[in-house]
Amino acid sequence: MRRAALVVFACLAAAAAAAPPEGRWTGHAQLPGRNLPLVLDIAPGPSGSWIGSLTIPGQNIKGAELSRITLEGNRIDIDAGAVLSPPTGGGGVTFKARAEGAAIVGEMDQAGNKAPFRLVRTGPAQIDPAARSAPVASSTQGRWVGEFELGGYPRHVTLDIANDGANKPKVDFVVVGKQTTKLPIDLVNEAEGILHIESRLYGTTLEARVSADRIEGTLEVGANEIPILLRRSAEKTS
Amino acid sequence: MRKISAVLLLGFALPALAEPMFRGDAAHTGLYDADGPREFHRVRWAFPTGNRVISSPVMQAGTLYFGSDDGNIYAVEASTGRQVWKRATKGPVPGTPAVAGDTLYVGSYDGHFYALNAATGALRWKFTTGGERHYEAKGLHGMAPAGQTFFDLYDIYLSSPVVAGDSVFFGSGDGHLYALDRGNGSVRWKFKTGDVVHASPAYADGVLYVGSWDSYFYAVDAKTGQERWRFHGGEDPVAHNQVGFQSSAAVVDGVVYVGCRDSNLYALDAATGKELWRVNNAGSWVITSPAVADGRVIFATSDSALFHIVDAKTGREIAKQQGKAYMFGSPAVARGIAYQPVTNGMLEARDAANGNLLWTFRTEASKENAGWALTADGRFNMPLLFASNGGEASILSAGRQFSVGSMFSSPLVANNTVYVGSTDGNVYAIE
Repeated sequence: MRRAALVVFACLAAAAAAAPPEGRWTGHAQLPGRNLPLVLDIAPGPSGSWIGSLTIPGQNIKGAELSRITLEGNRIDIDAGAVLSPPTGGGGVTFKARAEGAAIVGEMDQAGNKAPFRLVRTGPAQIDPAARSAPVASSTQGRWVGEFELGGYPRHVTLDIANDGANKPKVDFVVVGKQTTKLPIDLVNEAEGILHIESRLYGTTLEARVSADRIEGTLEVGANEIPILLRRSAEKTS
Repeated sequence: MRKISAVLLLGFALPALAEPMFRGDAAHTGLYDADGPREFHRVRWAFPTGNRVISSPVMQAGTLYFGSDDGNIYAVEASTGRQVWKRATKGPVPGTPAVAGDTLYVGSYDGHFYALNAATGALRWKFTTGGERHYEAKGLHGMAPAGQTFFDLYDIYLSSPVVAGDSVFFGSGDGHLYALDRGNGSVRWKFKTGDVVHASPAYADGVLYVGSWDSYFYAVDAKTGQERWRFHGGEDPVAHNQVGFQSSAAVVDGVVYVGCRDSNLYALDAATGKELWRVNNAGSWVITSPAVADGRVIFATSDSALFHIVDAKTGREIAKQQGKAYMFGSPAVARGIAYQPVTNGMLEARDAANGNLLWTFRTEASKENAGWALTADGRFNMPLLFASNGGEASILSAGRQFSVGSMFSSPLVANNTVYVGSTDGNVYAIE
């Protein structure tokens, strides 16, 4: 009888080890004095990899992309990249977990703090699709120039946009103030006549309506939102 | 025929008559011609967002729309809880969207009013108001020091837009009621009040009805922006506690019903603003927006936690039930059942005829009861709720209250399901 029980237990353990982590996992981390709610969504990615996102209600974290998911036996390690990473350093959120019956349990790490967590599967995975770049309207291509004011100083802007097939359009976004800054561009798309360009490194987003001779809207730089007007330049794109 | 095809494709019946805007229609009756659950069966799904959901879900063609204080506006499949799209803003979105045609309208605490493609979330236009802010006053609610200005933590909503004709109307923290062209966001007119406008304008027969934190309630011509009349609510120059219209009005059969922080529910003649009757609640705020059904007005109070049913013509009490905690979220009435959200993290279903409790849903956060914010039977645990070593008791207590998954959101009833948001960050589909 005891042997039979051990066999059943071993089978269950093997099943747990082999169970794929796909799904929505809901629960919380037990921080000292409070529970931190967590929602992890994990799904198969391309070529045997895993993709996922993290939601933390109350922390303005919704569908944040998981930068790394590693499976080994019944162990799963997850890195949520810069999520809840203090600007003073200390590291963002990581999870070291193992399958335990119908749950995954383990330790969450944030800024060097560690807390136990337990999640149970509550449904299919709902990975937040990341915003994608896409070709802009052909009439939006070309060189646009203008200026905006920030901190009492004028800044001159040159924006060159060119489609690159189905790939992310090529964008040169150059701001000349006290110094010249070429913004690295992460996201470019256009829908319903609204051009959207993001530079995450500089915390800058252009969102503006495109017409034949002008791009008019707002430039968000950190917490500042600045009106911006760009006009089509006669100069050719370099 | 096209509608029937859509229903078949979705495998999900469309709600009847409820318009996709705050309180189910432009007059804000809070009345839903749909079946809702008579008994609690289960939570069909819970959709997690990154912060509390004060906004109330609205539905069009099987898609739910709502805002979250995580700064996003969401579109979610009503049948499955799967996200269709989300659109980021730079501030909390505690107001309720309105959907008209294929465009969604809603404001954000970032000071913008957005028009989005309802199918994709793509921006159509955004309008910049004079900026959002909370109601604030010196020595608010008796907080010390009396000369210090405090913002009101319970000024928790933003004005929800109402759509009528080619215009969309909403109030703003800059003190104005706005009328914008639905197509391009240009200003048709703006009407200035004396303080923040976070109540939601109701529309009936060419007139907008909305209250302001200046403690006046206004009737404004929807075409011209000209004032028709104004009604003066209570004043409280010392503690600023018994002042201001936070409740949104319902307009039915020529009568405006609206709650006020001066602890009254008022019935006003829609044509003249003359007071017809009032129900006084002895110092307890009336934040809920009243529902009007079958000649009855249904509303609830904050501190006294009373669920009221009164005669719409006379204000005479028909039924009064003692609840457990503050009620800010507004009752939705569907075929004889009133669904009342409560700040203790519960949704109560009550008989709309007599207020008797039919069933209760309780969030997990409310069951967890972190820090014993609640008593064992679900009332706020005042000694621990307001515990503080300093002068910040009000701020700490608000955080403790919200930690139990408070329901400020007003329910949407459709397809035997109640949809409602919670401060635990979820929107729940309860059946």
